Amino acid sequence: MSSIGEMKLNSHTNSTSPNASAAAPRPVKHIVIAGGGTAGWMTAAALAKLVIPAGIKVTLIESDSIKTVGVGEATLPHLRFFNTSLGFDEKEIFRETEATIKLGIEFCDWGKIGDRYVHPFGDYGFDVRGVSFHHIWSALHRNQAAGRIDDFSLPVVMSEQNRFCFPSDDPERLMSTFSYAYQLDAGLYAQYLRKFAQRCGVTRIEGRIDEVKMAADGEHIDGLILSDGTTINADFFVDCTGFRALLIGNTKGRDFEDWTHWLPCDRAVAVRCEGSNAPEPYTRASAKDAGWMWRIPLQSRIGNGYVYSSEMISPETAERDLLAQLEGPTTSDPLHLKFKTGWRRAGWSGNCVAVGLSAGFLEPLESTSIHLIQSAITHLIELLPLSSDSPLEAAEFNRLMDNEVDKIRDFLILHYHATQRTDSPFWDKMRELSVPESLTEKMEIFRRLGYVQSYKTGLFLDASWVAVFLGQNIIPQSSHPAALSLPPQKAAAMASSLAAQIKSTVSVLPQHRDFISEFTHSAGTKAPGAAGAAGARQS
Amino acid sequence: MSAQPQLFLRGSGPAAAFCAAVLARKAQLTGSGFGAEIECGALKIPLILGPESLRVLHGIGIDERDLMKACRGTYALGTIYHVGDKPATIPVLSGEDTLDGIPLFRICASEPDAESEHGPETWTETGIETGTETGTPSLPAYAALYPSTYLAETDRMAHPSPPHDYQYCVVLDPNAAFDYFMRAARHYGMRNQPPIQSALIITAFEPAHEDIFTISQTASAPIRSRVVHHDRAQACEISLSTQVCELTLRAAKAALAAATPHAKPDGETSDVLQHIMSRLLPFDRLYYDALSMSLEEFYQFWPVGDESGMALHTIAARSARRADLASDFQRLHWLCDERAIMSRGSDALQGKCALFIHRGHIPLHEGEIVNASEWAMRFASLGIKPKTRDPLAAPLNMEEMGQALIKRRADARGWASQQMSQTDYLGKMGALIPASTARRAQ
Repeated sequence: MSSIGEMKLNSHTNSTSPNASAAAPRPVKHIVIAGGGTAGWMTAAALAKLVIPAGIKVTLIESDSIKTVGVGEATLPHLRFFNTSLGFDEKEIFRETEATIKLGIEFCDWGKIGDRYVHPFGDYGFDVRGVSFHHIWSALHRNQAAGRIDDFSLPVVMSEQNRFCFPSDDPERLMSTFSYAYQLDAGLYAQYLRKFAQRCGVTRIEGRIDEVKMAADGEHIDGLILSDGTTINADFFVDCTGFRALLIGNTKGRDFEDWTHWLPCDRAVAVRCEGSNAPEPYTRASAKDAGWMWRIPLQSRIGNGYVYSSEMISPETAERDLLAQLEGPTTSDPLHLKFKTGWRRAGWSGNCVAVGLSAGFLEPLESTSIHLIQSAITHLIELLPLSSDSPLEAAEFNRLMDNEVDKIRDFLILHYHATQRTDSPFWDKMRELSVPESLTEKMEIFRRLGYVQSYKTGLFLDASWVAVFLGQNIIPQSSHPAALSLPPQKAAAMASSLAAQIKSTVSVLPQHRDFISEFTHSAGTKAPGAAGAAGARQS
Repeated sequence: MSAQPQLFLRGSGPAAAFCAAVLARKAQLTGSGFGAEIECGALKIPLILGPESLRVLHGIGIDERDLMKACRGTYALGTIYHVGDKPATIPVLSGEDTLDGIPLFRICASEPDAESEHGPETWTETGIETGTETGTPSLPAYAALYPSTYLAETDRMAHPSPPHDYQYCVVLDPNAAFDYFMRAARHYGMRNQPPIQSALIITAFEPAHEDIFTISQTASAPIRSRVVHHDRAQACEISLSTQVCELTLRAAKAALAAATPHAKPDGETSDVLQHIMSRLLPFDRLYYDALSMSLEEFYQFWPVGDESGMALHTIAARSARRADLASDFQRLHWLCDERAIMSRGSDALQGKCALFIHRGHIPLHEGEIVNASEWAMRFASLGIKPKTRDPLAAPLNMEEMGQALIKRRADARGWASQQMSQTDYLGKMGALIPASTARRAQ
């Protein structure tokens, strides 16, 4: 992978090559987004808000006859910032997208059958002597005096009690120690975005893309030829055509790094069923014989799916197993999907950038699909191309995305690899997997010393890694010496007091269902009762 | 009573004493015995501690006022760079301010010659870009938007308070600082005993910098750091409350030294701090800030028994990456134009320069100490400016934007002008050394 520095030097060298003159760079005045769906309309909405005012025309081409995958009903907290930056009203999002609150993901049967843990959007406990709380917990755990790590996380206890209230802005409050996301209907969200984008000036063209017209240099796209013969020319293209990768697949960005040896699930079947009156504020991911099943409760229905390896079971078996787990009558036909895990290292190539599934796909396990769309859009806007030939911007975009994706990939592999299950060939294979060196090192240092190799730029920070390590029974053999130097009785008393405080704070919060109902019908921006429930944080 | 030293520091100079103070306190928290053998070394160069260093010192219980008083300290809010006749002040910033979501430096940095034609004292504005209509308000230079710039230029000092968000450095007398940090280390349990056989030994020897710069004392001058570029050499002036020290950076040797290939961390127990000391030069805050961040990391990954190697490998790799990135910033003293940077800079530095010139964007990497705003200002101080303004700034109403920035500049200047001089400020906080004591110290 060339760095930008090298790129700069190379671009001087190449400036006299015949290819360079074949596609004369031109200012970006028109951007075409190929494909609708979540990726297409998120891109359109963001460009509508930020790019159209700069005098750039934005067109989106989609065909009603092509079904969208509708990835990512469960989201991450970052989506809230995306919505805020576009000026969306949170209440409207709840009303229009059937949204519920998501405080984390409950993982069932991943370490061993019968195990259960929550990966929360928040911290465990508080730092003691400048070191993370999990060091105290693991020291207590080795002395059989720890209790569950879950008891020291406010969002986990909120999830378990099905209660919610907005976080506090006051960092001194216990209620400031978590964040939240949404579980929503991705199709409805895309419709909401579409309305917004079109209102802000995005032109939508109904049509099916038949052909990608390449420039003479073979690296840049000139236009898209639709099935009715119309050609849509533009200066820059965003490929949101999903797994088909119609545009990027024609450029130098076609090379796809296959990660199926690490993330071998390659099929999914999804179905909706009727929900309960008390949707839970968390997503569930239950490990199964040949993969895992998701359960995402929305306001009036539940999204369900089985992600599996086609090497292990057939689509029919997967569908049968999924339907057998449903909690209510189905409200849709089962939808079968095929995918290949991996990533395009040159997701921006020439005058085309891949956003969403066309760029690559990891796993729906940690709800990263929508986040990666958001991340690509953010970097695209930061590096909005000045001309149709933007090698510097492309190199920087690809560097930033690679950096993000590699860390997410390692995090996802950890879930599969850190298992003790011996009940099926699938889990035997995952347990014995040879994982990336970066992950081996991370696991080893945590296992032996309890240290998390943290980073500042990346999606999943320390608390997330700790949640999965501990949840899947990677308990450190040692703790930070500062934690060990605390007298055990003092440490135990401190932990017990914290757990009691969390419990009492959560006990007065509204039920999740009541909260949503009250919030969406209230006049203010915050739900009543938010401030009163904020217990003081221990220091 | 501390145990026999399981962690042992061998080193020289005030940087080693600084490390000893921090490690002694951290060892106390971990219940480990800590010992050190530290020589005075060459106590000539004042210490410049930036925000990271001050955070670490605060974390181990050192009071800033006490530190300033004991070490004859002064405050430095930024550096004034003189390239030819064009001085440019670069304040120490805490983050990136934005206007309508666009970083200010990406709006202002492309302003043609806003600083260079008129100098920072006047801050006269020039037109926004070629073809600006007559009557359109022009944009102020980027640094002018921060009160710390005015404070630095007029030798005033105030600690930041909302809404004025900036950071600062302290400059300490090397002799006094050495004594102070050694006392602190002893207070936190550092022992003079030899280490136990299985102890982890860390080295922190400050390299002799005579082949890179010479040091001389000058007459009393305004209290601020100043870097003057004289053709192929540079003078770096650092002031204390008692003296002014001038470091003349020798161009050729230093450039050569700084251009040596990046050393690879080898996981040797002794290298975790040494790499920073040999890679960075102590003439700005980056030296102590990088050390502080590595010391903090050392605490987070505290090496234990048989597993020390694994932890040390992580610390060493991170220290090396941080030192390399910070070293790019320091190397701008020698690689002071686009051509030199693009031919002799590291890949990361070339990448920064290329994208900045291309569109005012600064690509940052994991482990950076310097933020994008400071990079942008430093490039601008070298006459390196973006060819185009951020395309997203195009739809902004220039008149409104200009007025908003001019108001911000006026607010910054107005607030700064009400603050007291540094001499009065130090006197008020009881940290000013009486003149008679100062003379004795010299």
